[in-house]
Amino acid sequence: MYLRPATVDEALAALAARPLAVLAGGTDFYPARVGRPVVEDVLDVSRLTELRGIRDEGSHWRIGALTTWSDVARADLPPLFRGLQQAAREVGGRQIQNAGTVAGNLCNASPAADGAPPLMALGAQVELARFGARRTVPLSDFILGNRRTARGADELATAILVPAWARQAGHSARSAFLKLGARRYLVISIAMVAATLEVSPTGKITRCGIAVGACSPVAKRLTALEKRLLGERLTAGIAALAAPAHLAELAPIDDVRAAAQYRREAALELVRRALAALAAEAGAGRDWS
Amino acid sequence: MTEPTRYGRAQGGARKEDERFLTGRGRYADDLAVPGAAHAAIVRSPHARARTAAIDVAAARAAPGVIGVFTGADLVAAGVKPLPFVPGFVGEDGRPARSPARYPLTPDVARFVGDPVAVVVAETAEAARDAAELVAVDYEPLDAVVDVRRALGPAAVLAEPDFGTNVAAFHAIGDAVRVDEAFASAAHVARIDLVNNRLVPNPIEPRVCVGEYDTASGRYVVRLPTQTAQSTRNSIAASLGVAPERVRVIVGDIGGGFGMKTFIHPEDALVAWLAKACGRPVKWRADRSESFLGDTHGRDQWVQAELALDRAGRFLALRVRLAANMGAYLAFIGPVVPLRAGVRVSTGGYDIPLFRFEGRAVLTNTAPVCAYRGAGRPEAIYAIERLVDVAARELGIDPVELRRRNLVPRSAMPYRNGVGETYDVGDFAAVLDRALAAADWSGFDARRAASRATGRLRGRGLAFYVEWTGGEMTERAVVEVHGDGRVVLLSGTQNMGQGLETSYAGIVAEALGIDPARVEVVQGDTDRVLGSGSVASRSLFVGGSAALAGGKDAIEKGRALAADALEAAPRDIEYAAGRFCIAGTDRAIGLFDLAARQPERRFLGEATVTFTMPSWPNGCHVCEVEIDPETGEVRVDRYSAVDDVGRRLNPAIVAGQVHGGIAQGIGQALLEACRYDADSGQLLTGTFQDYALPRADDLPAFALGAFEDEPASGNPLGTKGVGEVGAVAAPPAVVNAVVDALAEFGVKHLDMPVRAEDVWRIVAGGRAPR
Ligand SMILES: Cc1cc2nc3c(=O)[nH]c(=O)nc-3n(C[C@H](O)[C@H](O)[C@H](O)COP(=O)(O)OP(=O)(O)OC[C@H]3O[C@@H](n4cnc5c(N)ncnc54)[C@H](O)[C@@H]3O)c2cc1C
Repeated sequence: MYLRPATVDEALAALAARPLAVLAGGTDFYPARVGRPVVEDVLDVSRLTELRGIRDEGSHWRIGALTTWSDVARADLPPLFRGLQQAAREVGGRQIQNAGTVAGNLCNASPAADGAPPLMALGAQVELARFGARRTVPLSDFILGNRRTARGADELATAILVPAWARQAGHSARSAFLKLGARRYLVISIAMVAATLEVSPTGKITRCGIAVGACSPVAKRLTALEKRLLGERLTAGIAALAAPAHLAELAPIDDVRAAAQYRREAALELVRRALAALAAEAGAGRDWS
Repeated sequence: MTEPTRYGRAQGGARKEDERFLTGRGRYADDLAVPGAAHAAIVRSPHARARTAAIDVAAARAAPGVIGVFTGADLVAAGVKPLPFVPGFVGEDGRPARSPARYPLTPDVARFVGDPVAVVVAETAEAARDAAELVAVDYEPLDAVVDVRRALGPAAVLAEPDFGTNVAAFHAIGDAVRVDEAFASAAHVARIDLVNNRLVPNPIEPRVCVGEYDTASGRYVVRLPTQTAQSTRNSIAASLGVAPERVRVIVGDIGGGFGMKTFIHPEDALVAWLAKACGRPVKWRADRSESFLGDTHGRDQWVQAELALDRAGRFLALRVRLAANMGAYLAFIGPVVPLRAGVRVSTGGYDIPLFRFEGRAVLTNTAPVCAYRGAGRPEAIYAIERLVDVAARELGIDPVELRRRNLVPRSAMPYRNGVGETYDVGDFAAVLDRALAAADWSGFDARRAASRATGRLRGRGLAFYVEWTGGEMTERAVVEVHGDGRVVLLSGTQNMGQGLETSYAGIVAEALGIDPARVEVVQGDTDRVLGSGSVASRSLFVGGSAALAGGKDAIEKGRALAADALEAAPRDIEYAAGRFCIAGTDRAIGLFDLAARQPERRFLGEATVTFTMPSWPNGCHVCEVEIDPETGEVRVDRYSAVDDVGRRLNPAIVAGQVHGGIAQGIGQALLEACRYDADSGQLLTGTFQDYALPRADDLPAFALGAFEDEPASGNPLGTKGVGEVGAVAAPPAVVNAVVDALAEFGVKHLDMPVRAEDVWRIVAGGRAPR
């Protein structure tokens, strides 16, 4: 069976009735099925245009589940989203960015998903809908492990919600994303890092999110480092505050792409660079929001 | 011997074949709509070594759309013979080299992951694949050997236990005693121990073959992209046990070959046999995963080399020991690559009087290894060029200076190298100088300081190479002049994207003084033309010279016919710009009018050329890299090259060939690694996610300079082969640059591909922990 409903309600009703494999851009869906026919019943969500696009809803931003990486890269967004936009430009190649969705990236739950670190560092939540009900789950609770999420079989991810940052007068926020791979494009990352910083009018860090991907089954926030940074002044020296102990929770693997030790050290270096880049932009008086 | 004209040089950059390729009108084997064709899917071994004890094909046979299911045992029972490989090699015991018999499907033991064990033929490719999954093979896994060093070690697992050794072939060159003496008395000995990484050739077009059998004539037709139609035909015939004339091989356009599409692959013979067995044309096409598993791979050599120098830094002797991983079976010319082709240039551009070589071709449970762009010469040049850099560093001599002291001088040409090969012409020192100028060698210090200021390490490396090109030195050409205004050139070489149609059309057109657009080039049909195909960068200088001679012969044949037509003596007939004319008169007949008057409305010129002298392209490539010490990332920042490929008929084609080769060489140096699990023999890098091919943004713009002062002496075009030089020169240029950038950390060598992690380990090891 292949369903392609036009409304979210129809889609949820179908999901409530029987198990269906959800298909969005298909850029993870089909590669997972190479060489064998699709035997599952499919719910193709690509007609649910109501789920596409990014909106400012005051207390948060809503990134509809069908928003593609190209949509993110092209959207006119405040510097808070710079990191997510940098990630968007490095997912696969252009064709992949045109087809692949941000929600699909999260629902697929690959340890190397480029979407996870920047959205985690933004404190994003995933909005899940089932027939007649809706709930939101913090992203860090949504991805449970390699290819495992908290999504129920009858649920559809309808949006990613990013809380508003820098709501107090004079505060501003900005983010950055860095990725290391054997090559820049079309490779699985060795490590990636995202950082979001909010600063007060006096230049002190008032809120932050730092997340590392590809160094553990699920991308992880570096909560100890986040704590350490709070209240610090955002200057070039801040990069040096990141220490190996802050990455203790990571559990990188050894594989054909890289050794664990290298992943860990590279991640630390990327964290420092992300912080240094944000400090440099603050120093240069670049536009924050 | 060189002629003054510049055949085809008048043409601009555009290539005759490009419009067809760019507008989707290329005709590749997979595009052929063969009426009634059935499709084959191959069951491949998931084990590196396993006895295929029992194969149950009942379920597959009963599946929808299935026409037939066959195993290796069926083939053997039907009299199919193993695929041939070139004779002439011996093992360490002096007996003829041995390979496990390679049937199109293995009947008893699977010897590598991907070894074909059964085939399903069905109405559609999908049905064939579905049914292939139903073939139940009862594998009895056996121990496997993967790595060539382990394969030579004590108590190694034997890839083929019956042979008692993993060494399939052994070849030694040079006087060991004299070389030992030279080493004993040397002022300095530099040593290197390196691995030349295994690569997957990865042309954009995967292998495809379509077999047909005609009951009435008893003939087979196999359509496939092969660089060597005649050899492939002969091997198919040998495997089928029929005379070569009963097989016709037809080649269309080829989407890249890189040496991998040479000679015989199991599927080529298989589809022919299946076509007869099933009474239908049968088509097989590899998908990319099958290509990774089942294509022949390239390189994979373990090389130990030593260089003896005197007090003045003069090279006295070179000793090379290599072990080449041949995979599970000897591919058609497998051992030729490390033991014959590469070794010819082991001494590179240097005057090294004494040379000793010991090479072993080693069997393992991996995909067979055969030619890949350069085929042995990249490995040889990599070893000598790394070794010279090691010596320079150890002696504290500038690497340019050390090379200058030892390059073969122009005055020594023709020069017999330590291996016993004779270089005809060359001015290596001039090439080196020109390359250094093109690279702005002297501006390096300023660039390095600028990199330092941003926290980056910068290094530079150079590589001087000499290439051997030629292989089979005979080629034939037929030039048909048709009454309808066309000239058809038949050549036994093969276009695979390298621009031969353009070059040949230019040569023939210039010989005849006509518009190149009139010239059609026909290649790759064994019923129409035989020849040795396109390998070893031979096509232009051997095949192109034959085309030139064929064009001239057409003029001579035409002269006689024109004399008839104009009722004059042949010696009074002059030919120019498409017209035969009685000298001193205005009585003339056009080339094509003359053809139209002939009984078949055409006449032929033909020529067979045989050369004795291979061509020896040489050149110098210079690379600068920038390294991020914190992550170890290496970026190729500058790359320049001066290549002496003799006369360049079409500079744009030459540049294209050099560009492609450099890109592949940088890929080998920094990105590409074909890895098998050392114990299980599983292919770990079976997709483009794990096997990193270089992309445009991994490469800088290349600055290429030309050197045409020393045209080849051995052929009338004055050209030398150019197809492989970039892939020969780039790996040592890049690695020398990386090692230079890391000199302060005391690193002597890094194996390819040099990954960010490897560099980072060196840097991290050389400074305090944080
Ligand atoms: C060549 C190539 C390169 C790639 N490179 C990268 C890269 O660099 N970085 C990276 O992170 N990823 C990469 N990917 C993976 C992929 O493109 C991304 O993860 C993409 O964002 C997936 O989105 P999609 O819409 O295509 O998801 P789909 O393939 O349609 O779906 C992915 C999974 O999510 C589920 N799903 C999708 N939408 C929903 C929904 N609304 N509700 C519930 N479940 C849903 C599906 O059931 C499926 O399990 C690459 C893929 C390819 C083929």
